[in-house]
Amino acid sequence: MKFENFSIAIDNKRLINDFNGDFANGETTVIVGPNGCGKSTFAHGVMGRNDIQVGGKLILNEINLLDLETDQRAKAGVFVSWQTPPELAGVTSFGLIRDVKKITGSEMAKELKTFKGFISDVELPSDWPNRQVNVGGSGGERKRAEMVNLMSIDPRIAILDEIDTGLDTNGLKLVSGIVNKRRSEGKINLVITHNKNLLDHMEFDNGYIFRSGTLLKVSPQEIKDTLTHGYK
Amino acid sequence: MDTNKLTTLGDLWESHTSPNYNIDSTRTYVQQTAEQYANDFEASDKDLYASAVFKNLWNKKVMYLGNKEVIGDTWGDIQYQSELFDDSVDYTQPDYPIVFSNGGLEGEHKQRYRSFYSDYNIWTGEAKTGHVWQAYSSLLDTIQNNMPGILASRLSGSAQVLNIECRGTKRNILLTSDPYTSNEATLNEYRGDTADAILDSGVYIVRINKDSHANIKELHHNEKKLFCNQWIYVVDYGATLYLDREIHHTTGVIDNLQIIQYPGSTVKINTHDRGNQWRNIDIQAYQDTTTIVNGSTLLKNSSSANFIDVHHKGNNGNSSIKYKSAIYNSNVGNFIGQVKVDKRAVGTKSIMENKNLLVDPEARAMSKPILNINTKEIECTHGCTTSKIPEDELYYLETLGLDKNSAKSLIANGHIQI
Repeated sequence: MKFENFSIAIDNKRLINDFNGDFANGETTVIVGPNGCGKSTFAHGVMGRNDIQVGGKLILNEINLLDLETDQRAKAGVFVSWQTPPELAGVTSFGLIRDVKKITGSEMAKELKTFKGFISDVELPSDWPNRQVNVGGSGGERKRAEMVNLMSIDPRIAILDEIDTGLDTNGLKLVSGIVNKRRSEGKINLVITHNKNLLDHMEFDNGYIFRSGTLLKVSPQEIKDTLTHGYK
Repeated sequence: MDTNKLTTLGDLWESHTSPNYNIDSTRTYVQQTAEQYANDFEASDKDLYASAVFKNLWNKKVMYLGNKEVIGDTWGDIQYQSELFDDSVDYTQPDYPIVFSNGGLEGEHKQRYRSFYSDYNIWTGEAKTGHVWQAYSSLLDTIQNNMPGILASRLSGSAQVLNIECRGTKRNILLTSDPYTSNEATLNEYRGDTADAILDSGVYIVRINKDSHANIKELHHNEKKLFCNQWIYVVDYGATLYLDREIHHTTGVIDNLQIIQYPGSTVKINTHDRGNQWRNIDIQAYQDTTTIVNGSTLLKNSSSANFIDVHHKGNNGNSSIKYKSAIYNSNVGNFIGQVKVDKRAVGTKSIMENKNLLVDPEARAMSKPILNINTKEIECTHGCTTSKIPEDELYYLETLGLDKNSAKSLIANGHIQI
């Protein structure tokens, strides 16, 4: 995945100007930045939320993703986890995945079994497949559910937007494990975070820091230092 | 709101019925008169009369018999739809399947059991003897004289009685208009009877005897017909009725459902509506009764009107009315709910809710909750909401790879879950 002169603005306020960057297969990249600098907007700019203006190009498999609708970008292999995913009354967790993956009758049993496996991986209650999406779920449960969606859809590119908020220590380890596994499978991970603890168990290759309207590439150690000592 | 006036549709039909009538002229006549009536109503009520229910009902193309093509979704889809509902009862293999057609009930066991004392029995119009029949007849007379909207009884001279008695055990019964699940003989019967091929009407009285527990599923599924039915359920002392009504892609259903709840009885009705329907549910509940009415209405190519009237006639009654609808295109969903509490009905507890989701910008919903309280020491609440699909929910599903229409559909189907 390659960004070419990628720019983002929201409410006529420019957040990123002419960012160029390459995200290679099998690499995990951690992105940090102070509050309000536009990290989430960056994630959703990639996904195509309609109140965000974007410029430049985002090339994946020789296609400019920015020309596509949100659902087509998702189908092209991009996934964004939400900071506060909405409640979907009456839609069950498995029903959602069933529709997303267009699972039909004959595959249903097998897919449900796999789904239950993911539920148990992230230590959610076993009745989770029949529960309504995010209805009544705590912050941590919602984040775990986002990880279940990630594993079910298994996209080439995952952008995890502050997946750590609301998660307990075990949750952080689980997320790190999932990201590391994806990395070893040659998939691309972009992890947006404020939380140094998340990185304790996560292997990552690159870092980016939001600074003065662009993303600066830094080493993993600099990311850790920044999260420990604050932004300059 | 004068609900009596709503029944004029039946009067219109009746007044125009002549030896030379055909469905097209009748339809045109009814529609013109309906529009004329609409002009005489107040602006708020006019909405109801001008609604697509009134028009669509008579405008729908009628498919003729012998043609198995299904309008809209396939039968497979329909089954898939119903899988979404979490039914506590497995109706896939009902104890007794019964087909209602051309004003009659056809049960597999009808012949075999008619002469025996049984926990299941159908009295037909032919067997008008005995005390039981007389009792039912007098009941029918009372209802005919007192109730508005007794459309079906005017259209049909006969009434059918289904008697269910099963103390200590449960009975699962499927009542269906569906030629797909009914036997071929019934289909032949339709073919042979061209005079009444379009309007299927009848009066059906179902009695759940004392301390019996019946799970009944009514399945209305037939694009070829317009149904005008009068259902009367009598739920005896301590009896329980779970009634599941599904309406799929019908040309139209006009039905009047009356339920009489004896003391100590429980009634739970779930309605799943996917076709045009105009419905009046009238429940008379005596003391210590529980009444639950849940509605799930999905209006993709049709409009609907639901009038729900729960009348608490005795003390310590509990009732809950919850109607949810998802409305597509320029269709209209109408809901009028009334809870009436008599002076003697002290200790009544009642909840009424109507939630409408407008899927498309042109969709409309009309909602009128009415509390008619004539006593003290009761707890009655009502709430109605009409909303659009939240942008963030739609976008969330798109980020997971669902296109806009699939996302809308998932949210709409979720909204109407009972």
